[in-house]
Amino acid sequence: MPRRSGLTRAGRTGRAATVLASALLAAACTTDIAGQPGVAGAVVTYRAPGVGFGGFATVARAGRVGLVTDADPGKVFANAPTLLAALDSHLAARGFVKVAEPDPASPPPAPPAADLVVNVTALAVAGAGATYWNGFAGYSQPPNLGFAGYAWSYPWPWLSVTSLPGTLLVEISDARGASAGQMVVVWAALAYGVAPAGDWDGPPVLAALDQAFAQSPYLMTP
Amino acid sequence: MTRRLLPLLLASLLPAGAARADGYVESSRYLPTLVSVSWETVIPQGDLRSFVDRTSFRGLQVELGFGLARHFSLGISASWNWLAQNVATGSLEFPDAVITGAAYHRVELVGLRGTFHWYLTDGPMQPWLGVGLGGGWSESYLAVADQVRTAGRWYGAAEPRAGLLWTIRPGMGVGLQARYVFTTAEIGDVKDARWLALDLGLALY
Repeated sequence: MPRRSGLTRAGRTGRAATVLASALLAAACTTDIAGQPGVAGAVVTYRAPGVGFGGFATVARAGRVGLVTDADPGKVFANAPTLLAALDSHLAARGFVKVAEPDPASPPPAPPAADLVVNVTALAVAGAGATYWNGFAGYSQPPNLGFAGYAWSYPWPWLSVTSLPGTLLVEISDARGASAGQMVVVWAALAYGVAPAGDWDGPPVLAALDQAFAQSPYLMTP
Repeated sequence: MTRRLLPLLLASLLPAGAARADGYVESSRYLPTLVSVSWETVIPQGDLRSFVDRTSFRGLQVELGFGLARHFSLGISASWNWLAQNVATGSLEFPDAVITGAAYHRVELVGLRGTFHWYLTDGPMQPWLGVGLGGGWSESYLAVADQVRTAGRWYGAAEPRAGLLWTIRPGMGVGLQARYVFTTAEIGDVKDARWLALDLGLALY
Protein backbone atom coordinates (compact mmCIF):
# COMPACT_ATOMS: atom_id res chain seq x y z
CA MET A 1 0.00 0.00 0.00
CA PRO A 2 1.45 3.35 -0.98
CA ARG A 3 2.47 5.69 1.76
CA ARG A 4 1.73 9.40 1.77
CA SER A 5 4.69 9.93 -0.54
CA GLY A 6 2.76 8.06 -3.21
CA LEU A 7 5.59 5.58 -3.79
CA THR A 8 5.26 1.84 -3.59
CA ARG A 9 7.90 -0.25 -1.86
CA ALA A 10 9.52 -0.93 -5.19
CA GLY A 11 9.43 2.76 -5.99
CA ARG A 12 11.10 3.67 -2.72
CA THR A 13 13.76 1.04 -3.34
CA GLY A 14 14.31 2.45 -6.79
CA ARG A 15 14.57 5.96 -5.44
CA ALA A 16 17.09 4.88 -2.79
CA ALA A 17 19.09 3.04 -5.42
CA THR A 18 19.08 6.11 -7.64
CA VAL A 19 20.28 8.30 -4.80
CA LEU A 20 23.00 5.77 -3.93
CA ALA A 21 24.12 5.47 -7.54
CA SER A 22 24.17 9.27 -7.89
CA ALA A 23 26.25 9.60 -4.75
CA LEU A 24 28.70 6.98 -6.01
CA LEU A 25 28.99 8.75 -9.34
CA ALA A 26 29.48 12.09 -7.61
CA ALA A 27 32.20 10.53 -5.46
CA ALA A 28 33.84 9.20 -8.59
CA CYS A 29 34.03 12.74 -9.91
CA THR A 30 36.08 14.18 -7.06
CA THR A 31 39.69 15.26 -7.30
CA ASP A 32 42.46 15.42 -4.75
CA ILE A 33 44.48 18.33 -6.04
CA ALA A 34 44.16 20.11 -2.71
CA GLY A 35 47.12 19.67 -0.44
CA GLN A 36 50.67 19.24 -1.61
CA PRO A 37 53.56 17.00 -0.78
CA GLY A 38 55.46 18.06 2.31
CA VAL A 39 58.45 20.34 2.01
CA ALA A 40 60.42 18.45 4.68
CA GLY A 41 63.26 16.57 3.06
CA ALA A 42 63.13 18.51 -0.19
CA VAL A 43 66.53 19.35 -1.68
CA VAL A 44 66.96 22.35 -3.94
CA THR A 45 70.17 23.13 -5.77
CA TYR A 46 70.93 26.32 -7.65
CA ARG A 47 73.57 26.87 -10.28
CA ALA A 48 74.87 30.21 -11.51
CA PRO A 49 73.98 30.47 -15.19
CA GLY A 50 76.88 30.15 -17.57
CA VAL A 51 79.37 28.97 -14.97
CA GLY A 52 81.39 25.88 -15.83
CA PHE A 53 83.00 24.18 -12.89
CA GLY A 54 85.75 22.59 -14.91
CA GLY A 55 87.80 25.75 -14.54
CA PHE A 56 87.98 25.48 -10.76
CA ALA A 57 90.41 23.18 -9.04
CA THR A 58 90.79 24.09 -5.38
CA VAL A 59 88.43 24.83 -2.52
CA ALA A 60 88.59 26.45 0.89
CA ARG A 61 85.90 24.97 3.05
CA ALA A 62 84.68 26.79 6.16
CA GLY A 63 86.00 24.99 9.22
CA ARG A 64 82.71 25.20 11.10
CA VAL A 65 79.02 25.02 10.43
CA GLY A 66 77.37 28.36 11.14
CA LEU A 67 74.22 28.05 13.20
CA VAL A 68 71.37 30.46 12.57
CA THR A 69 68.96 30.48 15.47
CA ASP A 70 66.43 32.75 17.09
CA ALA A 71 67.73 32.00 20.53
CA ASP A 72 71.30 33.21 20.21
CA PRO A 73 71.97 36.53 18.53
CA GLY A 74 75.72 35.95 18.53
CA LYS A 75 77.95 34.08 16.12
CA VAL A 76 77.40 30.44 17.04
CA PHE A 77 78.18 27.14 15.38
CA ALA A 78 76.72 23.70 15.09
CA ASN A 79 78.79 20.62 15.84
CA ALA A 80 78.70 18.52 12.70
CA PRO A 81 82.05 16.87 11.95
CA THR A 82 80.46 14.02 10.02
CA LEU A 83 78.62 16.45 7.78
CA LEU A 84 81.82 18.38 7.03
CA ALA A 85 83.70 15.16 6.36
CA ALA A 86 80.95 14.03 4.00
CA LEU A 87 81.10 17.37 2.22
CA ASP A 88 84.87 17.04 1.82
CA SER A 89 84.39 13.56 0.48
CA HIS A 90 81.89 14.72 -2.12
CA LEU A 91 84.10 17.60 -3.22
CA ALA A 92 87.12 15.34 -3.50
CA ALA A 93 85.12 12.81 -5.49
CA ARG A 94 84.24 15.60 -7.91
CA GLY A 95 87.90 16.45 -8.39
CA PHE A 96 88.23 19.48 -6.13
CA VAL A 97 91.25 19.73 -3.87
CA LYS A 98 90.79 21.26 -0.45
CA VAL A 99 93.64 23.68 0.24
CA ALA A 100 92.38 25.62 3.25
CA GLU A 101 89.91 25.44 6.08
CA PRO A 102 89.37 28.99 7.32
CA ASP A 103 87.67 29.39 10.67
CA PRO A 104 84.60 31.62 10.37
CA ALA A 105 84.92 32.39 14.09
CA SER A 106 88.17 34.22 13.40
CA PRO A 107 88.39 34.87 9.66
CA PRO A 108 91.83 35.09 8.13
CA PRO A 109 93.10 38.58 7.26
CA ALA A 110 93.70 37.65 3.64
CA PRO A 111 91.65 35.61 1.18
CA PRO A 112 92.52 31.91 1.08
CA ALA A 113 94.43 30.81 -1.96
CA ALA A 114 91.60 28.79 -3.43
CA ASP A 115 89.35 28.95 -6.48
CA LEU A 116 86.17 28.30 -4.53
CA VAL A 117 84.99 29.00 -1.01
CA VAL A 118 82.50 26.63 0.58
CA ASN A 119 80.14 27.76 3.37
CA VAL A 120 77.97 25.49 5.44
CA THR A 121 75.10 26.85 7.50
CA ALA A 122 72.57 25.17 9.77
CA LEU A 123 69.32 27.12 9.62
CA ALA A 124 67.54 26.33 12.87
CA VAL A 125 65.06 29.13 12.51
CA ALA A 126 62.07 29.28 10.19
CA GLY A 127 62.05 32.44 8.18
CA ALA A 128 59.98 33.83 5.39
CA GLY A 129 61.36 34.28 1.92
CA ALA A 130 64.56 33.31 0.22
CA THR A 131 67.92 34.31 1.71
CA TYR A 132 66.28 35.21 5.00
CA TRP A 133 69.38 33.87 6.72
CA ASN A 134 71.49 36.79 5.49
CA GLY A 135 70.70 38.97 8.44
CA PHE A 136 71.35 36.45 11.19
CA ALA A 137 74.51 36.58 13.25
CA GLY A 138 75.15 32.86 12.95
CA TYR A 139 75.45 33.02 9.18
CA SER A 140 79.00 33.11 7.87
CA GLN A 141 78.96 35.15 4.74
CA PRO A 142 81.30 34.08 1.96
CA PRO A 143 83.37 37.27 2.40
CA ASN A 144 83.76 36.41 6.08
CA LEU A 145 86.27 33.76 5.14
CA GLY A 146 88.98 36.25 4.33
CA PHE A 147 87.36 38.66 1.90
CA ALA A 148 86.58 41.42 4.33
CA GLY A 149 84.80 44.32 2.70
CA TYR A 150 83.32 42.26 -0.11
CA ALA A 151 79.64 41.87 -0.83
CA TRP A 152 78.26 38.68 -2.27
CA SER A 153 75.44 37.92 -4.65
CA TYR A 154 73.27 35.10 -5.88
CA PRO A 155 72.82 35.22 -9.67
CA TRP A 156 69.54 33.28 -9.87
CA PRO A 157 65.91 33.72 -8.93
CA TRP A 158 65.04 31.76 -5.79
CA LEU A 159 62.22 29.28 -5.76
CA SER A 160 59.58 30.22 -3.24
CA VAL A 161 59.89 27.11 -1.11
CA THR A 162 58.37 27.31 2.34
CA SER A 163 61.11 27.61 4.94
CA LEU A 164 61.39 25.05 7.69
CA PRO A 165 63.54 24.88 10.81
CA GLY A 166 66.34 22.37 10.54
CA THR A 167 67.38 23.34 7.01
CA LEU A 168 70.89 22.81 5.72
CA LEU A 169 72.50 25.41 3.47
CA VAL A 170 75.69 24.81 1.49
CA GLU A 171 77.07 27.60 -0.67
CA ILE A 172 80.01 27.63 -3.03
CA SER A 173 81.40 31.02 -4.02
CA ASP A 174 83.79 32.00 -6.76
CA ALA A 175 86.84 33.20 -4.83
CA ARG A 176 89.05 33.47 -7.86
CA GLY A 177 86.60 35.68 -9.68
CA ALA A 178 85.97 37.98 -6.71
CA SER A 179 86.62 41.51 -7.88
CA ALA A 180 85.44 45.06 -7.43
CA GLY A 181 84.19 44.16 -3.98
CA GLN A 182 81.89 41.42 -5.31
CA MET A 183 81.80 37.68 -4.72
CA VAL A 184 79.37 35.55 -6.64
CA VAL A 185 77.86 32.40 -5.20
CA VAL A 186 78.01 29.88 -8.03
CA TRP A 187 76.22 26.94 -6.41
CA ALA A 188 73.96 26.54 -3.44
CA ALA A 189 72.01 23.69 -1.92
CA LEU A 190 69.15 23.88 0.53
CA ALA A 191 67.84 20.77 2.26
CA TYR A 192 64.62 21.66 3.99
CA GLY A 193 63.72 20.43 7.44
CA VAL A 194 66.27 17.63 7.52
CA ALA A 195 67.37 18.32 11.10
CA PRO A 196 64.32 19.59 12.97
CA ALA A 197 65.76 18.42 16.28
CA GLY A 198 69.19 19.85 15.59
CA ASP A 199 71.03 16.66 14.66
CA TRP A 200 73.15 18.11 11.89
CA ASP A 201 75.18 14.93 11.57
CA GLY A 202 72.10 12.76 11.29
CA PRO A 203 71.27 10.41 8.42
CA PRO A 204 68.62 12.74 6.88
CA VAL A 205 71.20 15.52 6.64
CA LEU A 206 73.82 13.27 5.10
CA ALA A 207 71.28 11.78 2.70
CA ALA A 208 70.21 15.27 1.66
CA LEU A 209 73.82 16.21 1.01
CA ASP A 210 74.20 13.11 -1.15
CA GLN A 211 71.07 14.12 -3.05
CA ALA A 212 72.33 17.66 -3.57
CA PHE A 213 75.44 16.35 -5.28
CA ALA A 214 73.54 13.65 -7.12
CA GLN A 215 71.30 16.22 -8.78
CA SER A 216 74.32 18.42 -9.65
CA PRO A 217 76.35 16.25 -12.01
CA TYR A 218 77.91 19.38 -13.55
CA LEU A 219 79.60 20.19 -10.23
CA MET A 220 82.95 18.61 -11.03
CA THR A 221 86.37 19.39 -12.34
CA PRO A 222 88.75 17.15 -14.30
CA MET B 1 28.65 -15.87 -3.91
CA THR B 2 29.09 -12.76 -6.02
CA ARG B 3 27.28 -14.40 -8.90
CA ARG B 4 24.31 -14.90 -6.65
CA LEU B 5 24.34 -11.48 -5.10
CA LEU B 6 24.62 -9.40 -8.25
CA PRO B 7 21.33 -10.50 -9.81
CA LEU B 8 19.65 -10.04 -6.43
CA LEU B 9 21.05 -6.55 -6.12
CA LEU B 10 19.96 -5.65 -9.61
CA ALA B 11 16.56 -7.21 -9.06
CA SER B 12 16.07 -4.93 -6.09
CA LEU B 13 16.20 -2.01 -8.49
CA LEU B 14 13.30 -3.36 -10.47
CA PRO B 15 9.59 -3.29 -9.95
CA ALA B 16 8.27 -6.68 -8.98
CA GLY B 17 7.55 -8.96 -11.88
CA ALA B 18 10.30 -7.80 -14.18
CA ALA B 19 11.42 -10.71 -16.26
CA ARG B 20 12.98 -11.45 -19.59
CA ALA B 21 13.23 -8.42 -21.82
CA ASP B 22 14.15 -7.81 -25.41
CA GLY B 23 17.53 -6.35 -26.24
CA TYR B 24 18.66 -3.17 -27.90
CA VAL B 25 18.42 -2.68 -31.72
CA GLU B 26 17.02 -6.14 -32.24
CA SER B 27 14.76 -5.03 -35.02
CA SER B 28 15.30 -2.65 -37.89
CA ARG B 29 11.75 -1.39 -37.30
CA TYR B 30 12.53 -0.16 -33.82
CA LEU B 31 15.85 1.64 -33.42
CA PRO B 32 15.70 3.57 -30.18
CA THR B 33 18.19 6.00 -28.73
CA LEU B 34 20.26 4.70 -25.85
CA VAL B 35 21.48 6.87 -23.00
CA SER B 36 23.96 5.53 -20.49
CA VAL B 37 25.90 6.79 -17.53
CA SER B 38 28.85 4.76 -16.30
CA TRP B 39 31.36 4.75 -13.53
CA GLU B 40 34.74 4.41 -15.17
CA THR B 41 38.02 2.98 -13.98
CA VAL B 42 41.25 3.73 -15.82
CA ILE B 43 44.32 1.50 -15.81
CA PRO B 44 47.38 3.30 -17.24
CA GLN B 45 49.21 1.42 -19.95
CA GLY B 46 52.64 1.64 -21.56
CA ASP B 47 54.78 4.68 -20.89
CA LEU B 48 52.00 6.45 -19.02
CA ARG B 49 52.79 4.13 -16.14
CA SER B 50 56.06 6.00 -15.66
CA PHE B 51 54.03 9.07 -14.72
CA VAL B 52 51.01 7.47 -13.04
CA ASP B 53 50.99 3.78 -12.35
CA ARG B 54 47.98 3.55 -10.08
CA THR B 55 44.56 2.47 -11.28
CA SER B 56 42.12 5.36 -11.14
CA PHE B 57 38.65 4.85 -9.72
CA ARG B 58 37.62 8.43 -10.27
CA GLY B 59 35.86 8.80 -13.55
CA LEU B 60 32.67 8.51 -15.50
CA GLN B 61 31.41 8.21 -19.02
CA VAL B 62 28.15 9.48 -20.50
CA GLU B 63 27.11 7.94 -23.76
CA LEU B 64 24.41 8.47 -26.32
CA GLY B 65 23.73 5.81 -28.94
CA PHE B 66 21.46 6.09 -31.95
CA GLY B 67 20.06 2.94 -33.49
CA LEU B 68 21.38 2.79 -37.02
CA ALA B 69 20.19 -0.59 -38.22
CA ARG B 70 19.52 -3.97 -36.68
CA HIS B 71 22.49 -4.70 -34.39
CA PHE B 72 24.26 -1.45 -35.21
CA SER B 73 24.40 1.94 -33.53
CA LEU B 74 26.27 5.20 -33.93
CA GLY B 75 26.84 7.38 -30.95
CA ILE B 76 28.79 9.91 -29.05
CA SER B 77 30.37 9.62 -25.63
CA ALA B 78 32.11 11.92 -23.20
CA SER B 79 34.32 10.90 -20.33
CA TRP B 80 36.15 12.42 -17.41
CA ASN B 81 38.93 10.78 -15.43
CA TRP B 82 41.26 11.74 -12.62
CA LEU B 83 44.49 9.83 -12.14
CA ALA B 84 46.60 10.32 -9.04
CA GLN B 85 49.76 8.94 -7.56
CA ASN B 86 52.05 10.09 -4.78
CA VAL B 87 55.71 9.20 -5.06
CA ALA B 88 58.40 9.32 -2.40
CA THR B 89 60.88 11.16 -4.58
CA GLY B 90 60.44 13.24 -7.67
CA SER B 91 62.29 16.10 -9.31
CA LEU B 92 61.42 19.32 -11.05
CA GLU B 93 63.94 21.20 -13.13
CA PHE B 94 64.04 24.94 -13.58
CA PRO B 95 66.47 26.99 -15.66
CA ASP B 96 68.85 27.53 -12.74
CA ALA B 97 67.58 25.08 -10.15
CA VAL B 98 66.49 21.54 -9.43
CA ILE B 99 64.20 20.50 -6.61
CA THR B 100 63.88 16.93 -5.40
CA GLY B 101 61.51 15.66 -2.77
CA ALA B 102 58.18 14.08 -2.03
CA ALA B 103 56.07 14.43 -5.13
CA TYR B 104 52.68 13.87 -6.50
CA HIS B 105 51.50 13.30 -10.01
CA ARG B 106 47.98 14.06 -11.15
CA VAL B 107 46.32 13.78 -14.55
CA GLU B 108 42.91 14.98 -15.60
CA LEU B 109 41.48 13.58 -18.82
CA VAL B 110 38.44 14.86 -20.64
CA GLY B 111 37.46 12.99 -23.78
CA LEU B 112 34.83 13.21 -26.46
CA ARG B 113 34.38 10.64 -29.23
CA GLY B 114 32.11 9.32 -31.86
CA THR B 115 31.30 5.63 -31.50
CA PHE B 116 30.13 2.72 -33.62
CA HIS B 117 28.78 -0.43 -31.96
CA TRP B 118 27.94 -3.81 -33.42
CA TYR B 119 25.64 -5.87 -31.19
CA LEU B 120 26.42 -9.48 -31.79
CA THR B 121 23.20 -11.09 -30.54
CA ASP B 122 19.58 -10.52 -29.72
CA GLY B 123 18.05 -10.98 -26.32
CA PRO B 124 18.76 -9.61 -22.89
CA MET B 125 22.49 -10.37 -22.94
CA GLN B 126 24.07 -8.56 -25.84
CA PRO B 127 27.81 -8.55 -26.25
CA TRP B 128 29.04 -5.90 -28.63
CA LEU B 129 32.17 -4.73 -30.37
CA GLY B 130 32.92 -1.20 -31.41
CA VAL B 131 35.30 1.61 -32.14
CA GLY B 132 35.59 5.18 -30.97
CA LEU B 133 37.31 8.14 -32.62
CA GLY B 134 37.77 11.53 -31.09
CA GLY B 135 40.03 13.46 -28.78
CA GLY B 136 40.15 15.49 -25.68
CA TRP B 137 42.10 17.60 -23.25
CA SER B 138 44.68 16.40 -20.78
CA GLU B 139 45.95 18.38 -17.82
CA SER B 140 48.92 17.11 -15.85
CA TYR B 141 50.09 18.29 -12.45
CA LEU B 142 53.55 17.53 -11.18
CA ALA B 143 54.25 18.80 -7.68
CA VAL B 144 57.49 18.47 -5.74
CA ALA B 145 57.40 19.90 -2.23
CA ASP B 146 55.40 23.09 -2.78
CA GLN B 147 56.44 23.63 -6.38
CA VAL B 148 53.79 22.73 -8.94
CA ARG B 149 54.07 22.48 -12.70
CA THR B 150 50.94 22.09 -14.78
CA ALA B 151 50.58 21.44 -18.47
CA GLY B 152 47.44 21.15 -20.54
CA ARG B 153 47.20 19.88 -24.10
CA TRP B 154 44.67 18.74 -26.67
CA TYR B 155 44.97 15.22 -27.97
CA GLY B 156 43.50 12.93 -30.56
CA ALA B 157 42.29 9.44 -29.64
CA ALA B 158 41.16 6.17 -31.16
CA GLU B 159 39.90 3.16 -29.29
CA PRO B 160 38.70 -0.36 -29.88
CA ARG B 161 35.89 -1.05 -27.45
CA ALA B 162 33.84 -4.02 -26.39
CA GLY B 163 31.07 -4.52 -23.93
CA LEU B 164 27.99 -6.27 -22.75
CA LEU B 165 24.52 -4.80 -22.51
CA TRP B 166 22.39 -6.74 -20.06
CA THR B 167 18.77 -5.73 -20.45
CA ILE B 168 17.16 -6.22 -17.07
CA ARG B 169 13.74 -4.82 -17.93
CA PRO B 170 12.30 -3.38 -21.10
CA GLY B 171 14.25 -0.28 -22.01
CA MET B 172 16.74 -0.57 -19.19
CA GLY B 173 20.05 -2.33 -19.00
CA VAL B 174 23.29 -2.65 -17.16
CA GLY B 175 26.33 -1.95 -19.27
CA LEU B 176 29.80 -3.35 -18.94
CA GLN B 177 32.43 -1.90 -21.21
CA ALA B 178 36.15 -1.97 -21.87
CA ARG B 179 37.96 0.40 -24.15
CA TYR B 180 41.65 0.55 -24.92
CA VAL B 181 42.46 4.18 -25.65
CA PHE B 182 45.32 5.16 -27.94
CA THR B 183 46.03 8.89 -27.89
CA THR B 184 48.47 11.55 -28.95
CA ALA B 185 48.37 12.98 -25.42
CA GLU B 186 51.57 14.28 -23.87
CA ILE B 187 51.54 13.83 -20.13
CA GLY B 188 54.66 14.83 -18.26
CA ASP B 189 57.49 13.38 -20.36
CA VAL B 190 55.21 10.71 -21.78
CA LYS B 191 54.15 10.90 -25.39
CA ASP B 192 51.22 9.09 -26.97
CA ALA B 193 49.72 8.08 -23.66
CA ARG B 194 47.37 5.12 -23.62
CA TRP B 195 45.15 3.51 -21.05
CA LEU B 196 42.50 0.88 -20.51
CA ALA B 197 39.12 2.12 -19.35
CA LEU B 198 36.56 -0.19 -17.72
CA ASP B 199 32.97 0.91 -17.25
CA LEU B 200 29.98 -0.20 -15.27
CA GLY B 201 26.81 1.74 -15.86
CA LEU B 202 23.13 2.01 -16.40
CA ALA B 203 21.60 2.30 -19.86
CA LEU B 204 18.14 3.47 -20.83
CA TYR B 205 16.68 3.05 -24.28
